[in-house]
Amino acid sequence: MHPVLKFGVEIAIAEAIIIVILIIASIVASILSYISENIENKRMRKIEYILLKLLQKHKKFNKKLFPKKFHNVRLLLKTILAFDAQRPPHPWHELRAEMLEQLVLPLARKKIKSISAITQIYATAAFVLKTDTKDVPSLEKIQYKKSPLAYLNCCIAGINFGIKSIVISLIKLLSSTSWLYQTGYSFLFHGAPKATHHIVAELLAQTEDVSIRATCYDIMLQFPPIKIKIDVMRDINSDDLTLKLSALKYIAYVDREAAIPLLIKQLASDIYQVRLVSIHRLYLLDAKEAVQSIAQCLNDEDLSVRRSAAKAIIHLDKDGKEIVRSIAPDLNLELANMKYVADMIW
Amino acid sequence: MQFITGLYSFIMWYIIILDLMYVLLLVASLKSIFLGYIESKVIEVVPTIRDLPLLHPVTVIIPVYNGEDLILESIYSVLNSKGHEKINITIVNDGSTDGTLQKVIETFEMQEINARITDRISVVNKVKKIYLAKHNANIMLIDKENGGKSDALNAGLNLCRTDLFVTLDHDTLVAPDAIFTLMYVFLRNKNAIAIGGSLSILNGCKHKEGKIIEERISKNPLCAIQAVEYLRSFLFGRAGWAELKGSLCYAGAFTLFDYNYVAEIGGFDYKNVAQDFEIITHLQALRSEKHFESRLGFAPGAVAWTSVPDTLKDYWYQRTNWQMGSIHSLILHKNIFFNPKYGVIGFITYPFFLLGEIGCGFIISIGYIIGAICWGIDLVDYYWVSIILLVSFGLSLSLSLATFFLSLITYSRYKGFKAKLGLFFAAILENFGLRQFLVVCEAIATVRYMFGQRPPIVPYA
Repeated sequence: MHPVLKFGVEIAIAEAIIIVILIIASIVASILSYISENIENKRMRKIEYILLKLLQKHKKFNKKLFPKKFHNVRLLLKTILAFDAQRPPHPWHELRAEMLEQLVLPLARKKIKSISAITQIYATAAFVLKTDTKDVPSLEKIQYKKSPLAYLNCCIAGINFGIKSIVISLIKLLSSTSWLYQTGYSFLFHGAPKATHHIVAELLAQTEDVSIRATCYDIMLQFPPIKIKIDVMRDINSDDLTLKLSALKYIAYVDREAAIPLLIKQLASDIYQVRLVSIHRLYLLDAKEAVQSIAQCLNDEDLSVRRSAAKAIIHLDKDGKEIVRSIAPDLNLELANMKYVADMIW
Repeated sequence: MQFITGLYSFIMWYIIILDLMYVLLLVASLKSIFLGYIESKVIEVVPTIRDLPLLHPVTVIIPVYNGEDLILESIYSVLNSKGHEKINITIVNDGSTDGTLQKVIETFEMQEINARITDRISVVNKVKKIYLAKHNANIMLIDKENGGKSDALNAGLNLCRTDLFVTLDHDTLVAPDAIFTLMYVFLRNKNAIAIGGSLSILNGCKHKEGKIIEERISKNPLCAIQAVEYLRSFLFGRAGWAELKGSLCYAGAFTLFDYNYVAEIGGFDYKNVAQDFEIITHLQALRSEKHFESRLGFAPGAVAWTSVPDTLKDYWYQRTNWQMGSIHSLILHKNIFFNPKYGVIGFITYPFFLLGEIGCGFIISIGYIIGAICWGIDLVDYYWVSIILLVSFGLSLSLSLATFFLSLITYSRYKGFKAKLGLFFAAILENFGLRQFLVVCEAIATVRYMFGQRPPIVPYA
């Protein structure tokens, strides 16, 4: 037989075997996925039943009620979250805390040391709900490059529980990558506790790094307004556009009195993003005194600046429509008074 | 006889090497498919991520030509998306002659506006009017003269104010979390410039107001087989190439791009109907030429459902256009071929696409012709032919079944026993008729291209 033909026969046989294996594997996979889904649902219902019973009888959490088959971090987290969504009666928060402390976190502490990225991901997800001081060294060891999702969970835990080392390392990471990338993570700071606010404020006060400062300003917008002793003017006058914009947004957020004249001055900037941010912030600050200055932007070369100016004027002045009509008669007023994409960006 | 044997050997080796390449792709894709799948499972138990809003504003550009049937469904699906308040929709009516324009204007009460759009990207055919929706300033409509999908996309890009945009076909519905998932993968991939989404088949599915109510396999065998083909292509094909950093094509029907890089290369190629192939190739070339760290990624979990041809005539027409468009793109960037400057793209992807994906139809068809001639002059060796056919069938069947198996254990799009059974039989049926039809179609398209014929720019295939 020709050697190529012989090889072809071997390949055909190998393919036939693979096909048979795949058919069997597909059937087995279908059955197993059906069974495992049922098993998981069954176990979840059983855990829920136990928890409900404890709640009804106002009893403390008892680890012995949960046999080993329930010792699965993902299953336990899923159940806790399902319970949270149902808004169960008051003792739930105490019971939840006990359950995390006695069952979930000990499991997570074992799993976080695993070399498996998947196991680490689930383990770190548990720390998002509760973290102790003793867990910090383990969380600090998780690196972005090795496991981005586990690292994300650690960041959330760090933000939620004010872990300084993790928060600072996250801010440094955010500042060293593109601002697009930043947007995803800076939102994690929304609703962070006061301890985390102080960490960010402290870093902003201490660092000279332009990117880190800009990142800190953006993060501060996620917190209730805090005035801190820093030279914001220096940053507003910076040559770095990202820092400049971040500082403008920050000052508008924390100090209305100081911000309004500053923003009016920035309307004359030759950078369209600065004009846009300034108009938008004046609009948000309800700065009626800025109407005449904003009106000069109605014939701006940039479409989003013109539209934002029209919207701001209509909002700020009861005769806003007349003002816009007289200066920019081509601008469609009905449409001007609506949210525009520029608002989404800035 | 020696010549015939040599030819048989060549075809056998060709199929075996093709086999190995697909296996390599399958293996390469496993990591990203499993990790992506596990991530989606983890997100279920981390509310901070699960409840994240859309993280960055994005523009969805929907070019449409005579698409009154599904254009509204497509727009509604975007409006139903997670984070829709940060999504700007730009519909580009490319000179439709049906009721598309009127339908969109009436439904969203669009009003004409005087918008100065940039000319950063060249648009060949004139923009006539621009409209804005009365009650939702996130929806804009560009009405322009007919000029083809690429031209329409470029017009949309000139109005784009966000740094990211998504291309979406007018007959494509996105899952509620699809754009969010694309965005999430984009933001997670350092230096990403494009993220491809995954396509599923809309034909046969039950949908209403942009929402997929029930995902079904179509009863039309042609559509069912294409469901398998798309699953294979999007579950491991694209994911595998992305992992090998050798992507040359994403679905133009649903891909996220960084606007600045697309603008830098002048937008979409006006003369090419396979503009999705060309733009990714071009972006890859740009990466290599300018030596910047960047990635073209793929998000298997970001799903959109698109219509596919349901008649052989339409299928032929679509695949002919794709074949010619792909050849054109490869010729346009022929300097990539075996050029060390382009790395994996130059040494693996480009040759594979040239000789494997695009060349396959042509080479196999030559095999059929020579086989027929040999049979006619009684020179055929049935043993050789049988083994070649078995190896070829075995390859495609095992790949289809591998995809089917992967879909069962990861992104199981088709729930329900009937749908899975339908998919299984479609995977087998694909190899008895349609595959051969496609081979012939691609071969004829290649020959027509070689004789100077080009696909018409206008149709949206």
